[in-house]
Formats: sequence, C-alpha cells, structure tokens
Amino acid sequence: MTVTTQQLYKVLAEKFGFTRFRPGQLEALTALSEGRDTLAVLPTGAGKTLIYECYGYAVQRPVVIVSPLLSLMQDQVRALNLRGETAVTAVTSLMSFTEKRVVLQHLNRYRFIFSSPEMLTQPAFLTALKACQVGLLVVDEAHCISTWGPDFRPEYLLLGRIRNALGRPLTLMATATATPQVKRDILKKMQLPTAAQIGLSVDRPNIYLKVVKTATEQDKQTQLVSLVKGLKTPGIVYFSSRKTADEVCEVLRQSGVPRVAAYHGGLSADSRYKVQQQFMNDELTVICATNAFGMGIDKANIRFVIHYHLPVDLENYWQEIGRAGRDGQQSIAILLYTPGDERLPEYLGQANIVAEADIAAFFARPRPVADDDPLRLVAFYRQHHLNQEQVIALFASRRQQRRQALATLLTYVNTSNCRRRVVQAYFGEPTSSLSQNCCDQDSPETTVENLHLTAPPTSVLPGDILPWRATLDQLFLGKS
Amino acid sequence: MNKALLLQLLSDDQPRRIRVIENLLVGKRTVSTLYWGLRYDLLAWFGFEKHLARRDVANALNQLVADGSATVTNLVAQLTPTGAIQKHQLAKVTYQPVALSSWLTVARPEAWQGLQLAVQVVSEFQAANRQYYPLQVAFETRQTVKRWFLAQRRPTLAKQVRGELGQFLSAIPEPVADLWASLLVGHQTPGKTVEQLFEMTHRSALELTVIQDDIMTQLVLVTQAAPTSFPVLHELLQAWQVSPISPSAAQTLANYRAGATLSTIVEHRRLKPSTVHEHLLEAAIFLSVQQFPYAKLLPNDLQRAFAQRLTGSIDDWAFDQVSDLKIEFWQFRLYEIMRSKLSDDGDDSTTL
Repeated sequence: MTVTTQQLYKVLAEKFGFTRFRPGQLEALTALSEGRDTLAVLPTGAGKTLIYECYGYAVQRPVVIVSPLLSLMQDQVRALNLRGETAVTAVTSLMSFTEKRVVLQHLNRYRFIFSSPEMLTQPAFLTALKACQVGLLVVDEAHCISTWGPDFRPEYLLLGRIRNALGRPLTLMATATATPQVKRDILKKMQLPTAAQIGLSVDRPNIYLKVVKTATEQDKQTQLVSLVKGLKTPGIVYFSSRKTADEVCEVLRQSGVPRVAAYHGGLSADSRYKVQQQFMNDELTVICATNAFGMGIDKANIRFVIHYHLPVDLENYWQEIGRAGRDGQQSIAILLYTPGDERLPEYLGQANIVAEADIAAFFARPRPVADDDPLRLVAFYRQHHLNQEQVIALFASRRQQRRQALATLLTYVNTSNCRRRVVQAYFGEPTSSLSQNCCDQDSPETTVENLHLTAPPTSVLPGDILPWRATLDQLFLGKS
Repeated sequence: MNKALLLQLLSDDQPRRIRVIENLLVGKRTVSTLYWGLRYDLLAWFGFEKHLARRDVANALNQLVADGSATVTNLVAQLTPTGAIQKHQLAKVTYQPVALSSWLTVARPEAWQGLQLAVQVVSEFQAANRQYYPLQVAFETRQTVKRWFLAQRRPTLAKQVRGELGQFLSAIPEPVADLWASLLVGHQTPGKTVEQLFEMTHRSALELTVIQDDIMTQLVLVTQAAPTSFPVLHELLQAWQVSPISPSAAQTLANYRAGATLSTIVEHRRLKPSTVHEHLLEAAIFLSVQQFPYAKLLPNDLQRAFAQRLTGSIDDWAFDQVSDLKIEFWQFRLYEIMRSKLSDDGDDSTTL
C-alpha cells in the first residue's frame, strides 16, 4: 500500500500535533511507504515509536510490535492510551486465560498489538494474527536479535521464520544502538539482506561524559552522595543489583537528598507505578534504579545519569545514558568505577553460557528442561537441528563476544583519549567534530558549574501526609 | 516475612508448627493447613504473603530464637515469656486489625486494586482529563471498574464518591485514615507508596500492609451492609465480597444439603471419596457450627463415643484413640473441628 508524504504529514499533525518530523523519521516512513523493509538506527529520544504509529494510522492496518520486555510493552501501551488511543493491547504471559481468549477473539479490532518473540511462537496467536492482515511488523529494540538471541532469548532467532509465517508483512527493525556487526546480524537473522537502512549518528553531543574512579566501595558511595547533592536534577542512578539500589537510596536520603526513591522489579506494580508518576511529576528528583527503569521513560529534562555499577557492554551503557537530556539541554553521564567492578558484569554476561561438558551431557541424554534452566538454550538449538559441535562452537564464540564487549567498555573507562571517540569507533561511526564540553579526557577543566548543572540551593522537602479530608478534596474536587 | 509477623503468629501457650504457619501465609489450601490454622486461630492470615520464601521464615525464626523470644524443636515453635511480653508490647504500639475475622470474605488485593483504579478514573473524570496513565490492574478487575464507571458516570459522581469515602473514613481513627487515603491515586496526585509511608511514619511495611488490608475489608463490609448509605461504592465493591470456601467444596456441601449421599456425589462429580471428605472438612472449618450439618455427618452415638474417649486439649487428641470404632480419619477430624468451634467463647468462624 502506497502512502504519500502529504498523508504522513496529515497524520503527524492530527495524531501527534507536530508540523515537522524529527531527523530520520520521514526517511524511514518514506522507505516504508515505498514498500521497503527498513532498519532504522536512531538514537534514544529520536522518536522511533512515532515512525510505526504514524505508518499504522496512515495505512489503517494493524501494526504488530515485537518488544523485549513486559515493562516496556506496558509503558508503550500506556503511552498510547495517554494519547487517547484505546485500540491497543499487549499479548503477554501476564494475561489471564480469559483476557487472552477475549483479546485473541477480537484481535482485528486492535490497531497496535505488542508482544514478545516467545508469544509469537504460539500457534493460536500466530493464527489470529494471520487473520488480521498485519500492515507492519515492527521489531523494536532490534539489537536484541543479535545480543540477546543466542544466549538468552533464542526465540529472537526465529523472528525471520515468524515473519514468513505471517505472510512476509512489511517490516521495520528499530534500535538506538547497533554496531556494523549487529546490523549485519539483524538483517541476516530476519532474512532481509536488502532492507533499507536509515541511520543517524548515535552521538548525543549534549551529554558530557565522565568517569570517576574510586579506590574502594566506600569511597564510591561517598563520591556518589557528593555528586548527587551537587548536581541539578532530575537524575537517575543505575545499579545492577536491587539490594544495592535500596541501600544506596537510603544512604542518599540519610545524607539529605530528600526526594529520592528506589525503583526495581522487587517493588509491587503499585509502587512502581507511583514512583514513576512521582518522577514524571517532579515530586521525586532522583531515582535509584535497576535497568527495569528506563526503557519507555520519556522524560525530557533528565540532567544526569550516574552508573554505580558497570553495565555489561557499551550498547547498554549508551542506551541508559541516552535517557539524559532529551530536551537537548546540557546533561551529564558519570560512570563510577572501582577496581574489580568488572567482576559483576563478567558474571552476568557469562551467566547463560553453558559449559562444553554440560552440552555434551545433554546431547548424550536429552531430557525436558524447565524454562529457567540454562540448558533450555541447548535444548532449543538441538530442537532446531544444530549438532553438538555447532552448539559448543556457538557458545564458545558467544563467550568470546561477551568478553570482548566488556573489554570495550573497560577501554571506555580506562582510555586516556577522548571517550566519545571510543564510542564512535565502537559503533562504526565517522568521528564527528566534538563539542566543547565533550568529556573529562578532552576537557578535564570542565566543571559542573561550567556545564550549568549545579544544584539550585533550595530543595523542597517531600510532601507530608495530608489529613484524609484534604486528600479526598484534592482527588475529587480538584482542591490542592 | 519479618520477625514481627512471626512473633505475632506464635503463642506462648500453644506450640505451633512452622510449616503450618508458612503454608497458611502462602495460601496453600490443604485441609491440614486450614485445620491447624483454625486450631491456632490464624485462619485470617491465609494467603497474607503469597510470595513468602522458606528461607525468610527460617531467618525470622532464627532471629526470634537468637533474641530469646522463642524456642524451637523439630520445627515446632513456642514463645518464651520474654517473647510473650514482646508480642504484647508490640500489640500495644501497632495497629490492630478490627476486621480480621472477615478478611477472608473480601478479595482484598483485587478490591484494593479496583478501588484505586475507580478513584483514579473518577478523579480524572472530574478534572475532565482523558489523557492519563491508568493504573495497571488485572484484566478482570479493570473490566469490573469499567462496567461500574459506565453505569455510574454522571457529573455528580466525584462528589458522591467523595461523600461516601468521607462518611466511611470519619469512623476510622484519624491517623490511620490519613495514611490510607494518602495511598490513593488521582488527577495530579500520584499517591504515596508503602515504602514512602514507611520512611515518613516509621510504621513497618507489615503494619502498613495490615492497615491497608483491614481498612479495605471494613470498607467492603460497611458498604455491603448499608447499600442505601453507600449506593455508589456498594455497586463497585460487591464484586469483591467472596466466600472463603473454594467453589468446588461449596458445591459438594450444597449437593449434600440437597439430599445427595456422599457416594452419589462421588459418582456424579467424578471425585475421589477422599476429595469429597476434604471438601466437607474445608466447609466445616470456615462455617459456624449452626451452618454445617454436623448432626447428619456425625450421628449422636458416634459423637458420644468420641466424647468418652477424647478428653483434654484437642491439640493432643490422636486418631489412634478412636480408630477401633470403625470410622475414617475424616470423621475424627470433623469432630475435632466441631469441638474446636464449640469450645470457643464466641464463634470465631468467618462471617458469611
């Protein structure tokens, strides 16, 4: 189905209230309108979701979005709800039997259908989808095909076949970060070698890059407190462990950072919702989060992202710091590093990689395995006709890749040259001219003051508990 | 689980099995768990902490033992005099649930989620705002709230909900009502999290959860008992008034009351005889003596024989004492249940 540029602008104005597309959006939409499958690599905050939403409205056919995380899907559904779009659903493992039955029976009523690769392998869902004449298949966070597929979410590797089973609908693969190798891998696994490629630089020139090295864990905590107290908010501090997120959150609170809260998968859905809303409303100014927080958070004025732990690779790091400065204003990303910090990501990166002896034992005596068993991956590959040697080779190469990825991140940490150049080289981008406030290696004299990121002197205390009458008046009568 | 909860659930005059307490909190519906829940007077806590891990129970118990508050032998624990004093003191300074005996008649998590969503929807409706992030609740709960809202939608709805909630909260002690209301979500009001209230009030997460559950139960009971005073909330909350008896056990009891014999029930419903017996025991545990057909299931002469042989504390009775009477174990257990209920001063069974 051909869509004209005028139609796209009409949708942009009517549905989104904009008159201009952001860089990369129209290029991707034009490629899709010409019927070309498209790989769009656009930096975080560039508006990737608008591309498929706009296309869906223009062609008036359902859009199926494959998304890696339940929380991300929920955020995306809510973001569409927020704009008044109700014909949207997320078909996930969280659905009750009744809900799933009702939704699948009426699948053609939905304009946007979110789901996971695992769910898409279920025949009932696939059959229901086939009947709705999908207008566009979107693989969101498409880098997961390459980075998660082999050792974590093998169903990602089946997306090419699933696409065929759906009758090869027009496909958009979208991601914020992809090295040349990852791009090649995505296109190969999706069986779309000739897809159009739209790419913008992954660089975020308004984010100043800094690494703070500390000798001990205690020093790190002290540094964190002083950084958070000195920086303009809102900001996010990322952790790799829920427990540390909770503990450091408490340390920050005790140190006089009043409007801080922890956010991780261990909180109830209710608390996660409230913390997120309070942060969006600027009632909370600092969030101590695990990576459960962020994908889908669209808050434009985040001024700092601090990493307390090392992420597993530079892609993840770049994705997470990309949440800062979406409004284009000066922001800062700080990575705290204590010698030995690499042990945690090393462990996390290797966690799903199965040892050679275990693979051999499984092939010698295959057995059913539980969903959370690391051998599930071996069983998956065996089921898809890989032999023992191939599986062993695959995991060996994966182990090597993970090590390499961590080594690259450590290069970023330890480099004595420009940090941005390390990132650009990693993502295979030409080195662009660098801004004056690039990183602590290029301009070590740059201070928080120079960046205009100093915390304002006053800080408001968190709200008290109101008398219940006042709370009810506020809720129902709009009295504040 | 923290040690305060375990302290609350243990006793100084009755040794209690730790696995029973764990299974109760997790909500494992077996007759054995329910029976001992009845004996320990802890049935209300059934399903209170569904995701409880065994190691948390062990940690809490170890702490109590280390403090000298409890002793434990073969996973049977009892409070020491020190522990009993601590329990008593804790009860004086923390919120004590007033609707505990009715907790199981309300689907508390669903009711709370539903009420929160309804308050949010009405608040945003009043503010004429259609673009907001709705709270994420289970599909069935969302559908219930949706149907209610479509039926109740009118310009005065916010005022009515405000009025009814106000009427209810006026009868609740002020500080507790303030806390509970601060959890609610609405237009430009994200509500506080339990973690934040813990920071602000130094009441433990356990106490806050108990408050949340207890107030929710009271709200459901009050609105269901007086529909004319709470017409709007009555309509909303009725969906979450439930029976603590599982549907299958309720069906067995209904069939039996309607005249079916146990063997016909076994045959018609294709159940094992032991399942039918378990159904009856489950129903007996939750119902008052008057509500259950004891006389028909335990004929007078059998009750007399039991009474002669089974004396002393019910917890010490053993099936061996009566096994020669050509009876089955379930009948012995049923008698234990009946006597447990009769020996209480009041009837502690859940109000249905």
